[in-house]
Amino acid sequence: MMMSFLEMKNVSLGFGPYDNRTEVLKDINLSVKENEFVAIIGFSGAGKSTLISLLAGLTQPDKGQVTIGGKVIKEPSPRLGIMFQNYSLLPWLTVYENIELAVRQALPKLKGKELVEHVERYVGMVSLTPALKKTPAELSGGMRQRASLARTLAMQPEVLLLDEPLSALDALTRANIQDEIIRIWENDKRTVVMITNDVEEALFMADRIIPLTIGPEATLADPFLVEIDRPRNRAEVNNNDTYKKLKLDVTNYLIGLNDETKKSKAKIEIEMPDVQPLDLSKPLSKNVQV
Amino acid sequence: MELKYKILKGLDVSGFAVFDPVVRLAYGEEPQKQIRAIGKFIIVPVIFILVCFALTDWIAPKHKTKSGQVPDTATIRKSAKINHLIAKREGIKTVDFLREGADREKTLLEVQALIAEKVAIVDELKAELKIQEEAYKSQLDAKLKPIQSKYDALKAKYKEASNARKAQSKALATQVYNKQVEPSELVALLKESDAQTEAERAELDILKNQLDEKRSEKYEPLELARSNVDSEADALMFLKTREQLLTSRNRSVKVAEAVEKKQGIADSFETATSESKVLNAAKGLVRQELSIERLESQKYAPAATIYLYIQRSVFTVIVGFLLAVIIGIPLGILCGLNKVFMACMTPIIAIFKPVSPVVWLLIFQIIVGAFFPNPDTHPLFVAASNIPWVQTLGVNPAMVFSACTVAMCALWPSLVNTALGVCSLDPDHVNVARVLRLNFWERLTKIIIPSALPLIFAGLRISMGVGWMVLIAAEALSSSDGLGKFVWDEYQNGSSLTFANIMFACFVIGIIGFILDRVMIVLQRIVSFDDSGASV
Repeated sequence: MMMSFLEMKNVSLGFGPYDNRTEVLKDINLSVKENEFVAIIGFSGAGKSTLISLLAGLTQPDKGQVTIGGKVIKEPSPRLGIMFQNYSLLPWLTVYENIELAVRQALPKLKGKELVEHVERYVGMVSLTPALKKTPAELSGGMRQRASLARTLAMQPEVLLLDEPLSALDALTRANIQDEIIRIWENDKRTVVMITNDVEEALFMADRIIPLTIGPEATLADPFLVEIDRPRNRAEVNNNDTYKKLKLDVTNYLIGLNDETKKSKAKIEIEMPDVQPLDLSKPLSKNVQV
Repeated sequence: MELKYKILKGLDVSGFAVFDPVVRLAYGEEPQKQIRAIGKFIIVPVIFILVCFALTDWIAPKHKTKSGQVPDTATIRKSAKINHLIAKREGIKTVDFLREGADREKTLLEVQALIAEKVAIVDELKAELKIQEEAYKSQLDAKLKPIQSKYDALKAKYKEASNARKAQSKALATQVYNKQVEPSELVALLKESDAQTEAERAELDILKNQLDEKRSEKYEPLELARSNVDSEADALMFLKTREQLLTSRNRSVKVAEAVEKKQGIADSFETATSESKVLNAAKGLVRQELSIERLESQKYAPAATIYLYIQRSVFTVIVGFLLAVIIGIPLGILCGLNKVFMACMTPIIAIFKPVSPVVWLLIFQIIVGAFFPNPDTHPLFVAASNIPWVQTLGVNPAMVFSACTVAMCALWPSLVNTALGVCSLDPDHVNVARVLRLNFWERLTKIIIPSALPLIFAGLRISMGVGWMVLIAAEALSSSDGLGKFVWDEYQNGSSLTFANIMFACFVIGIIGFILDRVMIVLQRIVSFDDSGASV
């Protein structure tokens, strides 16, 4: 077994003032091997985006450490490429310029023709070449997400952090880009951490699925290993027994999480004092007589 | 087909989307739909404007003011024509002044021929005027006669009555003196007599007013004859000035005279009889040479025309606007970037933003007066007077402090909008900047400013509008040659065309303001990356 490459050790993070603090994430332990594809699955609001911010170095934990190859992540670094949920392309730049800006920053050695070729290669990789000179406003959601993917890939990071990359897309485009990501990953292996709320997506793409429990104080639960051979075929995978079983297990686990939270919430019942309103329609003097 | 979409895009960007159906119709696209759109959004508005003009023409002549009758559209058009004519004549004069040699002589001959022609025309028109004056007099007399005779008769009658009353009261006074009657009776009689006199005077006044009214009634043929004479006499005057500018006042003629005079002085060396005379001759020669040099570089100084005013106003507003931009945008960016700086600036913005442009004008008048005491030697004015186009506009302190006032008032919208644009940076874009690890300068130029540009330009557009409005008021007060001064002068001078000229200036100011606004809209649309259309 390979040693772990990206690691989170006892990471906790909270928000708010110290007398009214909400712990979003508590005691997170994660260990991702090199070239592994990990999917973190959870309900919305569980703290998934916070988790990916921690991994990307955009946020620092209150407690614990995030390390890559044994080095503590203190700030965003070119080793970590993050792809945001809502594209985050710069709307005043064309697709080419968006990617070029990222490449110039990440790979400052590329100049002139090499730079242009590099950008064009990645744009071609996500099949966006015809839209090279278009601005994000002129693109569809799927095309924007492709552009965003190309930007992240073009920076050639060691780790790809995908923050719900496909959740804003329609089902057809979604499947399309899933295939695209898998194809690229298989050709050019690297470590991937993907956040998602879609069980099928996680099963289809990942080597390992780790559920995130419901916040506050969310933490990572025990992983499910997805032992389905690659390349996975979308049509065939639906009839695969392992796939079916895992799908059931993960879904049940998540539903269980949800029920548990509901139960734990239901317990918190404030006992109300038994008070009757004063009846003002009757004269007060009567009350005195009683 | 490519061209069609280019034109449509151009119309859209420049805010003339209303002409969209015209272009589509020209390309034969769904003619019925386009014709309906043209009818609704072009023809109906045009008809509405024509109705407005018609209403003006109907209402205006019914209203008279101290500065003459409220002008109808024809008078305003006439005012525009006259202003254009004045400008054209100044242009011809400027050229005439510089004509030399054969060209000058040829033109002079032409002008003289024109003068001869004009003199004949003017004489003819003057004769016509005289006839019309006679006609006017006779028809006026005819109109006045019945009223006048009535008035005279009544006046004589009342005079008699008045004299009778005077005699009566005198007689009564004698009786009172002799104690035959009570004094109260005399007082009563006097009161009654006064009241009578008053009533008679009122009656006479009515007739008198009728007479005055008849006299002030306009007699169209006479008015026409008079205005014909005036305009032709004006043209003749202009031709005579041209003649002067081609002869005695012409530059080349003046230079030739000076050269001749210099030759005379040079010759006088030989005939000089004493040392002091030689010295004097030498001094004269030096002076003459200087004067020739001055003459050679002389230019005709044309009177200020409407076109000069327009150029100066536009130049001043652009200078003021640029000053506002140079100050406002960097300050706005600082405000947006730094909350402490924003907190420092907020009270300053809040207090100075509502201050009236008039106050700023006076403040800048004092400041400019203190710092540019002599425009002839101050480096700023000297530098400005060497720039080709600016040179003809004539930069003076009044222009500088008008521009400063514009800048001061136009500053705030740019500043506030820039600060807002920088403040409202999308957090996603901040994250992108962090992930890409851009340094401060790259963040500013690659993320912050581009994302704030649409709001910055929206602010600039407001600034330009405010600046143009403030400028006209500032020019009126500061007497900086420009449209504001044009309006003010018209108001002060008072001619038969005063009101029409002011209305004409109103249209000129409006149209230029509209053009400036459109330029800003186009700039705004070019920089905006989210396809939001600018409002008209």
